Amino acid sequence: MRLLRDQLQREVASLYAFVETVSSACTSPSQAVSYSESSSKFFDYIGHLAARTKAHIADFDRHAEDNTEEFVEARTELWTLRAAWRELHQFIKPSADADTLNQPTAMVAALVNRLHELKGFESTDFTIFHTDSFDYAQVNPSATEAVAILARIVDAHQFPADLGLIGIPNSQGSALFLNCLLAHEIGEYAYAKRGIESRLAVDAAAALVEGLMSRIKDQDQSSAHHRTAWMRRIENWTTKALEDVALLRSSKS
Amino acid sequence: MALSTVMAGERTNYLSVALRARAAIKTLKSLMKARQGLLSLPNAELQEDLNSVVQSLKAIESSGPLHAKLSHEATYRRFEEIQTVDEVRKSFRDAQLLPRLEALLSGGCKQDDMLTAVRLFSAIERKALYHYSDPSWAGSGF
Repeated sequence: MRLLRDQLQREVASLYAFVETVSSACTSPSQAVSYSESSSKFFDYIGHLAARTKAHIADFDRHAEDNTEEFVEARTELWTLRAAWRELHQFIKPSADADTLNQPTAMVAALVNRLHELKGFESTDFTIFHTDSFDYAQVNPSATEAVAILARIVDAHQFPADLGLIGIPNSQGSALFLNCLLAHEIGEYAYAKRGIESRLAVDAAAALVEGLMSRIKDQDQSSAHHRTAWMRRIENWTTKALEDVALLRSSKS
Repeated sequence: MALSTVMAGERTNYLSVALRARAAIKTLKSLMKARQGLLSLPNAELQEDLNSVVQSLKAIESSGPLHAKLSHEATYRRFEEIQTVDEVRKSFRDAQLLPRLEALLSGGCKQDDMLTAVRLFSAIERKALYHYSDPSWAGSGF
């Protein structure tokens, strides 16, 4: 246990340095590129969150002298914070790569203007980031829930509620036709934001899984892992079937 | 395509559980230090966290398969979340767990009850992080 206690200071320093690096990447972007207002908003927020996180862990090594229960809990908190920043980290560089010359700026603006016609989305905007994948992707608003809770832990401002994140293949920054898929991703964002899944898809998925469970059991695949995998597949299918319909049927008034 | 289900999948759900538990611990500890009751501080988030766990525990105690207990109303509604609470409950040796949490929800401020809640959330955080860090996700392909 003494070894672990000695190691705490190193762990704190390691996390501090990591967050510091992320923070500096957000606060001093290259002068050679320019970013959309939504991207700047995203970088500003990450910078603020990083500053609050550093302040939160600045004197964390004091826990090395705590009793065993408190010490274990402090290390767990550090582990949780590290995991949260690990998830956040994956969006920083891809967002920095998507400057205004490397994203379909005009198309995004046109689609966002269209989205603004929908009730509840009048001020929504999107930060575009590049992905290594061929797929387009939107970060489900529920995923920013983790950022919101991290903000609560380190006493930071809340993540902007009207800011979404959409990923495009890094080779398609200046393409036109393929980027029409952005409309689908914006539809998916609207679907998730309106909480349609929680009202409809979960029931549908649970009912479908209930019907499928007997077959899975017959194949001796009734472990929790398999159940979770089936749940996810069915939720995904349900989501795909409904997300575009959700946007089409959204009320404008 | 939702990134959360492609790049990290349900791992991020486990992380959300861990973060929420940590936030609840933080609030509970500040309340314990201030020696004030829950009703004396307007903390809707803690009330929501406590209520979610209570609802999840009640759902788990009812009969039926685990996946059928996903609720729209509870914050711990995802399969991974309710699964984590279920696993923690099985190893949490306090027969009075539910009454203690309900006492806090109804405005009680006994130190013992708060301590129990802190230990419960701490166990939830550790279990969720354990699942989040499970290396088997990397090769599962799900």
